[in-house]
Amino acid sequence: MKRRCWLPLLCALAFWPAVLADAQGRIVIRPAIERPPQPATPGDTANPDAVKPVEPTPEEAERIAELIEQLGAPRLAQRDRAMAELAGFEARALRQVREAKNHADDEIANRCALLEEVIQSRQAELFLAARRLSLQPNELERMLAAPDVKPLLEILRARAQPGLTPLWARVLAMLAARPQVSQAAQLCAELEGVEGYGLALAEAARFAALGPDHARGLAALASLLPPSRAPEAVDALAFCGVRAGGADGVQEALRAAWVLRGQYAATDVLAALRPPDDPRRRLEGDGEGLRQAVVLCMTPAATDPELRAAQLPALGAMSPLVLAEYLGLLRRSGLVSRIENVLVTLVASGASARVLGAAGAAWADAVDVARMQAEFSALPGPARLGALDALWLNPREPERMHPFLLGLLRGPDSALREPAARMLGQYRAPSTVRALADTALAGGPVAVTALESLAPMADLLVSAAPEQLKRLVALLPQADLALRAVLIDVLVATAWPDAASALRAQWLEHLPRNEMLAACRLFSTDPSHPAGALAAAVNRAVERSGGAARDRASGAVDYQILVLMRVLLAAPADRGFELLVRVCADETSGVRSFAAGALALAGKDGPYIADWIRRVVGETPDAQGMALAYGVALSTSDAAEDFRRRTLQQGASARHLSLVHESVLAGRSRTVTREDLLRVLFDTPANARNWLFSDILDGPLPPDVRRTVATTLLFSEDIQPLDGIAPALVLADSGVDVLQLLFGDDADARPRDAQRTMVTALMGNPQRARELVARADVGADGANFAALQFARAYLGMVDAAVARRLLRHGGGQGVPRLLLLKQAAQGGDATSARMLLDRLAAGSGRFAEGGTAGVEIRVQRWRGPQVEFDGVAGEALRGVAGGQQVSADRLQSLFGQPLPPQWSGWWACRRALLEYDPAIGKYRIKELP
Amino acid sequence: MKRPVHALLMVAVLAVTARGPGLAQAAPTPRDDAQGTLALELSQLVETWIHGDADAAAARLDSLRNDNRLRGELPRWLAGLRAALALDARDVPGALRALQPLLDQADNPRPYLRAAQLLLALDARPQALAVIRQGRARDAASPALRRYEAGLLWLGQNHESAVAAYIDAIAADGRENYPYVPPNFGDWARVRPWGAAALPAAGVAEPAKVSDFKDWDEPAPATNWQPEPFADLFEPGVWYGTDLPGLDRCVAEMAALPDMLARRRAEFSGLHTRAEQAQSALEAFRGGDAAQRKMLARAAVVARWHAAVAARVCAVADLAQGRAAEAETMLRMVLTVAPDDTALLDLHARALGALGKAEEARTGPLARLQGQGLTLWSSMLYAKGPQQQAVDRVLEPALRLYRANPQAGRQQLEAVRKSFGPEHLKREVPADLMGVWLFQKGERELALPYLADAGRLIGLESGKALPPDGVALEHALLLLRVPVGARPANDAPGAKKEEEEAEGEPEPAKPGQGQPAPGADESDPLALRVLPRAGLLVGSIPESRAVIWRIAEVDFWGGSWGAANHVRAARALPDGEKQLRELLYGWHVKLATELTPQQLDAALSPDHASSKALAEALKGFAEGLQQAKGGSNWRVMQTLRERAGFVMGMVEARAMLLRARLRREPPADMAALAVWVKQHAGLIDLRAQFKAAGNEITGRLAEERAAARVPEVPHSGLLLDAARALARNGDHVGAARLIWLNRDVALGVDTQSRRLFLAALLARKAGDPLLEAQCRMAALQTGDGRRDNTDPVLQVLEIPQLRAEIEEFGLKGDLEAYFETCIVPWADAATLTGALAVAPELKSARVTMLMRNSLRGGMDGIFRASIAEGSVNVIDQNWPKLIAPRESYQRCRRLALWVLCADLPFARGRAATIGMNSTTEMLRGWAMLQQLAETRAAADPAAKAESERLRLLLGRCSTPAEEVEYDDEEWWD
Repeated sequence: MKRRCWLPLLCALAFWPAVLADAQGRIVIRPAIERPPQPATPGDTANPDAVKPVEPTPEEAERIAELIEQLGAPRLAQRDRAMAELAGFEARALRQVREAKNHADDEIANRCALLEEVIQSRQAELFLAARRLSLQPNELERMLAAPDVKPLLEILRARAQPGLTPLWARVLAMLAARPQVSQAAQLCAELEGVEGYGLALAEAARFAALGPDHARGLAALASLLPPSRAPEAVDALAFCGVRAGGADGVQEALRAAWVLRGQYAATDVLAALRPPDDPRRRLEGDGEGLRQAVVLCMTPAATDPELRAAQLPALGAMSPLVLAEYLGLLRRSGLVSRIENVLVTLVASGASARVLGAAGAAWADAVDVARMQAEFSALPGPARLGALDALWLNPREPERMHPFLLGLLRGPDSALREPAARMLGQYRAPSTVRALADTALAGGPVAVTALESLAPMADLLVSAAPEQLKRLVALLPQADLALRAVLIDVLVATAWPDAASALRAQWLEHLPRNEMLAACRLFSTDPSHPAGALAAAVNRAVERSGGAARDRASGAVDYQILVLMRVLLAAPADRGFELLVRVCADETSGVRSFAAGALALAGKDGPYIADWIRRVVGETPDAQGMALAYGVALSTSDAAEDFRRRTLQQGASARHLSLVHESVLAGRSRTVTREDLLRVLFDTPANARNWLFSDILDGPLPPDVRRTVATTLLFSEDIQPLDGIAPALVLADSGVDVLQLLFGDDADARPRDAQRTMVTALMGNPQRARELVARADVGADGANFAALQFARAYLGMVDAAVARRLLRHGGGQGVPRLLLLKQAAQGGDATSARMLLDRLAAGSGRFAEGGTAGVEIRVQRWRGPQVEFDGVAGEALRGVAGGQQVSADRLQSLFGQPLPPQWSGWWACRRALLEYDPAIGKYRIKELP
Repeated sequence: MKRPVHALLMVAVLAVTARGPGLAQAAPTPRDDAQGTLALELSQLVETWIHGDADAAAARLDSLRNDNRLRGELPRWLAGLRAALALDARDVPGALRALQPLLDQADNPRPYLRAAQLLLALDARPQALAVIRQGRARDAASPALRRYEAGLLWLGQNHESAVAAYIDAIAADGRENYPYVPPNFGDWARVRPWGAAALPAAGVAEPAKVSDFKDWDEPAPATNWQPEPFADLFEPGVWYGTDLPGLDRCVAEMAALPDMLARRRAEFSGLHTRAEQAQSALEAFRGGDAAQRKMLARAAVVARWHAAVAARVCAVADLAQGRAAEAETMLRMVLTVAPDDTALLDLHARALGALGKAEEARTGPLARLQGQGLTLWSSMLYAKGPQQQAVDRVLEPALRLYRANPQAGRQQLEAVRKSFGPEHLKREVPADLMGVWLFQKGERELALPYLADAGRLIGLESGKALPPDGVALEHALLLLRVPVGARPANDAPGAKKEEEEAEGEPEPAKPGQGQPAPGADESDPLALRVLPRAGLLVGSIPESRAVIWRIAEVDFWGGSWGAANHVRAARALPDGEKQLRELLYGWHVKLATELTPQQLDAALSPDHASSKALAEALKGFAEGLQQAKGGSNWRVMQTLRERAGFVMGMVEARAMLLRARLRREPPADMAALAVWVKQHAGLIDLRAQFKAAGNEITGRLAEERAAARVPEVPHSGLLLDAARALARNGDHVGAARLIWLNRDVALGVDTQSRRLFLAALLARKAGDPLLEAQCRMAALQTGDGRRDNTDPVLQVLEIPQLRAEIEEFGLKGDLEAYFETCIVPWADAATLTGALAVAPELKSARVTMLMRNSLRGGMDGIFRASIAEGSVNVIDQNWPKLIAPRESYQRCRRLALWVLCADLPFARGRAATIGMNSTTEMLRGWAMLQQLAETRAAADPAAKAESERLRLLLGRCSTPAEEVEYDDEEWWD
């Protein structure tokens, strides 16, 4: 609205000279525009948002008076210059301009009336900027709003001179959500210098009309090209965070502050804790808290004296956000005693649970485990909880933590037994198994948690706790529903024959729906029985779909399988197989594919396989013939083998290649090997596109396949090499010279876009990569700017401190970040390794990085409520299935021991035991007693 | 001149150094950054909230609550959950401590209302009142806070103060007709925040009008502040619109309390005098002192309302005790000071009605209420409770008079009919409403002419598919055994012409244009002459579009009102439900009993009028289908759509006759059945009639039938009859195969699940476990509701039939198995509750029958889905299943508390756009808590007390569930 208000005024001002020229020398000069009637009272009293007059210095007042008189000068150019200069004084000229509205000279009076409106519009600087660029204000306005900003940038490059900070602020604010903003920022920095750039950025962030996307863009910009002075950076980030709004706004600001950490000396940053004198720089409500958090986050480390000198808010006045950043700073700074002081002070002052929890977590992270254990019992409850959370997330010193947790589990404090049981789930060991089993057998509120922790390491029960195992089996009949479900999981996982017998006996009597998948896991070990065969077919489908089959499979199929399974369990084997055959013949059956799969897994498909193949390929009319493909894929009969060979001979265009693919993945093909199949699937990049996300790529690849995969990823129009972690890992470990592939021997080659730039840096020969990156330019749309910065930093082409910042910025949170973590992990950084594995494992929602969370519900009139999650809320609250479904093979290079295919569950019970072994340059899992 | 670029920036942007080979920088590691624990904490909070004990949940909530790292709804949710935990532990101060920060930050009354709802639900009414008063201290003028304060007062038995508070609210509002105004359904987001400027800031653009929005999916832009949306603790209990439904409930309760009643009786005269004096003082006031005038006006309102409330209390009590004359006298008196008071006029009409003073009622209070929205329309038939009060109010006086003086009563009925209808009928009350209401009141004779008239417009005689109102009408006509085409001697006087001319009403079929009449011969016995009605009703249940698609693969727009509409209509009629069950599953038995074999054969003969009519109708329809196959001519589609229901009705009528015939002479074996079907059922073999090729699967089934010498039976009812007949003759395997190989049957209302389950029972009886298993699997509902003839309402309705079949052919436990696999997986809360009510023997069944997932996994998924969807729909729809296992009590309690604290809508999708936090939804949340407590009431005295307390509270605040107006699905869904 403000823009709409001031634009006509500026236009009028721009055209005024012509009007005056016309009138000059003839009659009393008046502007040729109709101005709205002046309000009876000054704008600043009627409108609280109006610009308030600021008293000028005496020198300024004198100059302003002089300029007002020049508004009536005989020469038009002189009058215009005076007006432009007056506009530059903004609020400081307001009082005198208002007074001059009653000037005897009509020209002066009219120009002052107009000037007052220009000043009130807060666009005086822009007006000036337009003048200095030799543009009309409305022309400049149009250019600022235009989708193509190239003309504006060209004009700025050609005509701009230093001192146009307000214009740059506006340019940056308007472009903030667009890729070209990087170029504009670069140009601004070149022309205005770092200080001017910093001012422009800070001013842009304060721009009232800034939308959330723009604010996020600006925050990123601040981290990309830091202003020279810490206060401007702090200002910019805090304002961006507030303008962006919600938890994401805060998160964005803090992330940018994290990127800038190390850029400034601690004292410089900490000075920004002092509330700004300029009222325009102050933020309302939580905004000042965000400013403090930004300062503390941005500070690399501080000494005790530096902190004493800083104007830190009192502990009691710190919001949780600020306190979290403050504790982080203390931890970074190694000021353990200060953390302890914080904790003690908070305890003594009877602080709330939320604050004590945060302090407890920081303390536990900062001190060594022995110290934590020694003083743990002295902590108040919330601080203990915080400490345990911190050690759950970043487990250390397992040899010490393990007995400590066993002690808590057996201890008298019921509030700690539950978290102890949960934490012990990461410490796979015979003693853990025994303790958890004892806890489960003792019953009570921790029993279910104990069994849940036990489940992933239940295989140890047979050897480590045979007596408890027997008692757990005996517990089965009387276990209530909550305990029973997880007890079944444990017993199935033991693979102990007696446990299996007990379960089988119960399920023979009655198999409830809620236990069907567990039953499938148990029975699938014996496909010679029809129920076992069906179970194996179902189980395989569940595993192939990443465990989410339960959710995705249609309800009808679920319950039809249940009915079928019940019948098969009760029937003699021959009748069971006969039933499966009948189901296969029934076109209307929803479980036809599972029945076919079961027959194939049981080796009973011989008489039918030829018919199935005919139905699959359409030789025999069958509306649902493709349902039999699962059976054909799992069949080991000669006919199926022959079909696979024939299909493979047809090459990559064969219609039923996916069926062969399924056979090979299931290990059911005798004659078609994985290599044969790989060569067909990946014969050309065009064909390879269809299989880039297939599990067939897990494991070693022939050189030609690796090259095809790399070529496909690097040159496909619709697939980006870093869009998914799984193919990115294949590319990174392919051993292919990606730079040779991308650029050949072209001496003038350069990466063409952002992703190729990243690939060049991350996966190529460093020397060649540096040459290539050095040649690269920012594209017309600016989209590759950040990637280029990242590449230069990664390749050591910039100063170390800057590089660190750019790497943090450019690594982002997506695939590049995971690749960086993998590289750090390969370098022996166990924390990076754990973070990488956590992000790729199931339940990754709880590992989401970030310190804010929000949920907004927007009621839309036609679609009903829409939930929007900010910060870490989405993954943590919704319980996203989590994990990016990366197979063990693609992480195998990290470990000195083989990983099971379903490594996610494997990882769950060994998280705390990860250890880097420098001798082999790999990770191994510690053994605990 | 350009300034030199700062060195630092230079390196950031441009500088290229040749320093150091290889990767100069290690990748960023978190070594110096502790990973934030917030995601972990939130994740553990969710887990602890559902599964943890109260202390653990409280600790988790405390560690996150009031944390400014949490934004949006999260702080509110967490505070609410913490307060709920505290209330559960009877720590009321703790609950208030948890809620207080939210209240302090409130910028409109909503947080106070939410807090009060929670406190009231969890037995802290005094604290709820204190919270509301705290809110009133910040905004004394808020209507919602006023309503809550008054409501909480009388819920705490302080009726006097409550009445004073209500009257205070009325006096404060200032509108002349307040509180008789429609509630305002708005959006709290547009209510002026406390502390905001009263008017939009100067310079802010005028907000866009609603009609200006181009994209209806976009949220509405911020506009000028709007009035508070309606929020109250009470659902309306009266037919007229009121902004203070709690007042009416309060008055009703006071009338039942002897002390209150006595006091009002004693005070009435004085109050009345005071009201007159206050009114006189106001009218006598002269001069320009606005403040004085305002004070006098307020005093007059207050005095008038005190008198009115006293009169209402006394009148309600008098009417309940049959002392209409006393009530009438008092009301007449009080109406002199409050002549336009809707509630008083309503009571006055009741009193006059009870006295049989129809003319006086019609020209007096009813005429005045007409100006205040008293209009009767057809759907009020099914709306028990408040809606039906209006119908009673208008028609009751005339009926009373009729019973005393038929002639005068008839005239009065006609008189009210002419003026209390909707505008589009030129204010004439629809004939079906008149007829059905009179029928409800036991006046069959009087009802008949109205019903017959309505039948020509919206019933069978209209020649079109039944609209929803037509369903009730036809059920009534069938109950009255009104033959097709009959015209009663005593036609509703003067009704017909106006109806035919009425704007917007469907036109009756015109001779020569429409299809032939259903084909009843006047010489036929009555059973045959009413048969078309029965057929039409049954034929209107399956979705004709889907049926025709399955048979002929022609798709045209069309729909069905489904069985739910029939249930609703049947419930509104005396013996309606019994008739509906008979209609669906036993009409053929009735026919077989009432008709002789000769009559049946005659009716089935090709020469009979009904056969000819059916043949002609099918021929015409088949031609339409052929045309439709040739292109998408919308006129053809339109005709098909209009005629489909009618034609299907004729087919169903024929199927009933065939079933009756089969019942008379059941086939001895499969061969005889094949002959019988060939001989008799050809006319309803629609695949043949429509010359439909069928799809691959139907083709293959036909081949299988041919190979097994099993005939194709085109109607599900006939199929089941035939199968049962074969089974009773000992051919169980033949019976099972008959159903199995006819599983593509398209006609009939017997669900696929029941048919194939019966086949499974028969196969088992025959010793064919493989066929049994196949049938059991196929019995699982795989379609999408009524489109595939698997309407859940039908599934519930047919449970008695299924039970009988199980008793005859099955074993103990079969009903449980059927429920587990055929009903539970897809049943929503209403279906499941209905089904379990019909099969109470399942109360002792395994509770896992209701469970799809493990207790833990299921609860987790449901809770998280609720968060992700921003709705508690998933909890509500699964509630009966969730509360069934005793082990789930604690978890369900947490879910229920979540429902109360989250204050999310119960509906999903666009239906939820109206009024989050509506009274209805609040009460549904309380009802969930009550249902849960009831599951444990027998074993736990505390749960029993809570259940009783909530039951009482719900009874005082809400309209009983059985009286709630039916919430119809949109028919195209």
